[in-house]
Amino acid sequence: MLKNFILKDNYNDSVVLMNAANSVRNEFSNKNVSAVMATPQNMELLESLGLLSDEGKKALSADLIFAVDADTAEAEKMFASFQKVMAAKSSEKDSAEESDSSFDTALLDDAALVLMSIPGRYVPREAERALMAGKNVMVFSDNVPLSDEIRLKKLAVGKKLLFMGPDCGTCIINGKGLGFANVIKPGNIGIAGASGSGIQELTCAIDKMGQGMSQVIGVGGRDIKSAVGGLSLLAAMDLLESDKSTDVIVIISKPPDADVADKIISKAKAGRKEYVINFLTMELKDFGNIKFASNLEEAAVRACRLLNEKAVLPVSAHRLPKLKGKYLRALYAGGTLCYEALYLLKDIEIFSNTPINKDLSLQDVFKSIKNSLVDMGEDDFTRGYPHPMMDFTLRKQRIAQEAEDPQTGVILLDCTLGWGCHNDPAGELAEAIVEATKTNPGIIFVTPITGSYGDPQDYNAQQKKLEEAGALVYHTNRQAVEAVREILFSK
Amino acid sequence: MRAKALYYDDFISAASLLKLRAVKKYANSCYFRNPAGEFITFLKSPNQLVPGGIVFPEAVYEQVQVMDELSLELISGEAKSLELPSECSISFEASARAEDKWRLAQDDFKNILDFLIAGRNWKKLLGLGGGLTPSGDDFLVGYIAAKKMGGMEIPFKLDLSKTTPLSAHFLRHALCGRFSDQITAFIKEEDLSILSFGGSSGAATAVGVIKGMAENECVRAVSCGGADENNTEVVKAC
Repeated sequence: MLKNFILKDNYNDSVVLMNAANSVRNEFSNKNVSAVMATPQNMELLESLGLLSDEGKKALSADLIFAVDADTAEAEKMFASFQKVMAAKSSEKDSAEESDSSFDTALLDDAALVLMSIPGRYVPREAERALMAGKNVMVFSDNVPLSDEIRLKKLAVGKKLLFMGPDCGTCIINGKGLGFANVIKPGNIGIAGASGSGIQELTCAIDKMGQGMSQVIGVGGRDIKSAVGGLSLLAAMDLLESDKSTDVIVIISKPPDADVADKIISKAKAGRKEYVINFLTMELKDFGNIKFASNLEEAAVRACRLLNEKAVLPVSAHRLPKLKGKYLRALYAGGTLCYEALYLLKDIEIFSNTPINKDLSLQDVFKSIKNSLVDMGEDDFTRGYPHPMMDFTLRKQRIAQEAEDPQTGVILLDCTLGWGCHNDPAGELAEAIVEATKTNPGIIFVTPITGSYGDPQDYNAQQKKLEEAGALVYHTNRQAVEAVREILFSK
Repeated sequence: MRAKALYYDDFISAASLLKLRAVKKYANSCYFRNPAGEFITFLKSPNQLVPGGIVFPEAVYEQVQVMDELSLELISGEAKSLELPSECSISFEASARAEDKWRLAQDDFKNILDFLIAGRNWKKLLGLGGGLTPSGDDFLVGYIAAKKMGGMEIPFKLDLSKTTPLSAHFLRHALCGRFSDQITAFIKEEDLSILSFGGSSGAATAVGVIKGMAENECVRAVSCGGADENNTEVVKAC
């Protein structure tokens, strides 16, 4: 039954209308709901969708039509619910014009840190203003020219301020998570790192072993290049050295340029605190106060054991199913997690859009061949879409695409929780897993969760969703990758 | 009531501020109409000016926005002209950001809007889409701005009774060459604050500006005689 309701002379903007209509769609599990202004064009479309009644045709351009396809009693209920949500939405949010005080006023505030997320080319000017005003700066944005990064970092060092970024995704300062960050207990481990998802994995593993963080300082991936010379990383080490609540300092990054690695190691050697250094993929021998780790989990365990000898990570014991297809397809949202997986599987021929061995580059990043490991946080995928930790559209499409390939045997998917990312990552992945299983029931899904038990998404509920969809769930990326290895090599 | 404003659209006459009746109130802006049906928008500083708008200091805004009916007399404030700038500087990056924002816009009729835009079916856009100012109209406002900037003729006539009253108000002003500060700032110094205006209104307007500008370039290339056959084809294909 078609039913139209008319609200005379309505003045609600599209955000309010869309939200209210969506909420009714979900509440009543009925897709045939539309709420639009009754302009002739909109009415024509409603008619073509079969949603315009004779009643509705009487509406004027200034009126709102609420159209549903439901029986009369149900339709009345839906309209009542629509009006209720709309009233609530329009009073809570002023979506017509939302403007903050200006940046100048913000700089007068006594806050010690400025976080910016603006187009890269505006960063040099605004960041300089913030530094000149005596603020520490975290830059979430990428696309900041290298020369500006160097200039700004020198300026910050001169002023004894921290410059975190550009492209710095994760920090936890004085217990407050900035960017993509998990809810981590306070504690005595400090981190300085040039990697976003790596820091998240590390802090979550530490949290799972009962230890906590003093400060977590991200510096941006280019800090460890010769040209930048580790300016911010070294400054962060100074800060952590002088921080009373920090007992153990963990350094994490992809392999730095040799001169920068030297500087970092000499500084650590001269330090008074215990160090764990993880230059992802570099296997080095411990000496003095420095312990080396070659992967993220190992770094977390070694740091925790300095504070508690008996620290252990929870493990997931799964009976591994037999491989039916042939190849591994890994679709990562976290760049460092992807890199770590490539490193841990270095004995297998794996193609990637971010290969460690350049001979194994994926020719077409949108199409997997043989064993493939794809970092979907790379630019090719983020153009026009938010980062895959927030928006699962492309990853879900790709999962469906891999399922179509009869040679796909295992699909590996990271699932990151915490502030800043999607509010139900496991729900999104589970949906795609269930669909893919319908297409190809033989595929084995393996998912590591990067998350803490305090995260807003509820770790256990997220784990359950993935398990119910049929995935093998692991507590760290390394555990998941090792399970994949076993599956691939089992006879 | 007598009130101090910061600045206002110079198009507003003293008579048009009499017997205003409130139609919609937000925390930072509210819409009133006078007996002639014209829209007068009250804006809280530091909001940008719109056609038929008055920007008040915060304290004054608090006073005027609670009124349901009032006759207003402005005792101070600068009259600002809402004409387009002479120069355009919109970079590729800025237009990419506008288009990204539009791509993610929520609108029940988004697919149809895109289809009509791709087919240059401008007239069909009038009154199409959700919200107070349907997205199709927002696009048209931007498109008209671009045509005006290029000194081009507007290639359609609009029957403004076929859209919402508020939207008709903005289109009417646009056709007379008068635009919100945000549109001007976007064109003049590629200020992207327009993208956060409304749900998708700002993004739709920005995309309208970009499509219109691109079309101007096409036409100009041909009329200057500097075009080769390929370019001519582009125009035909548009």
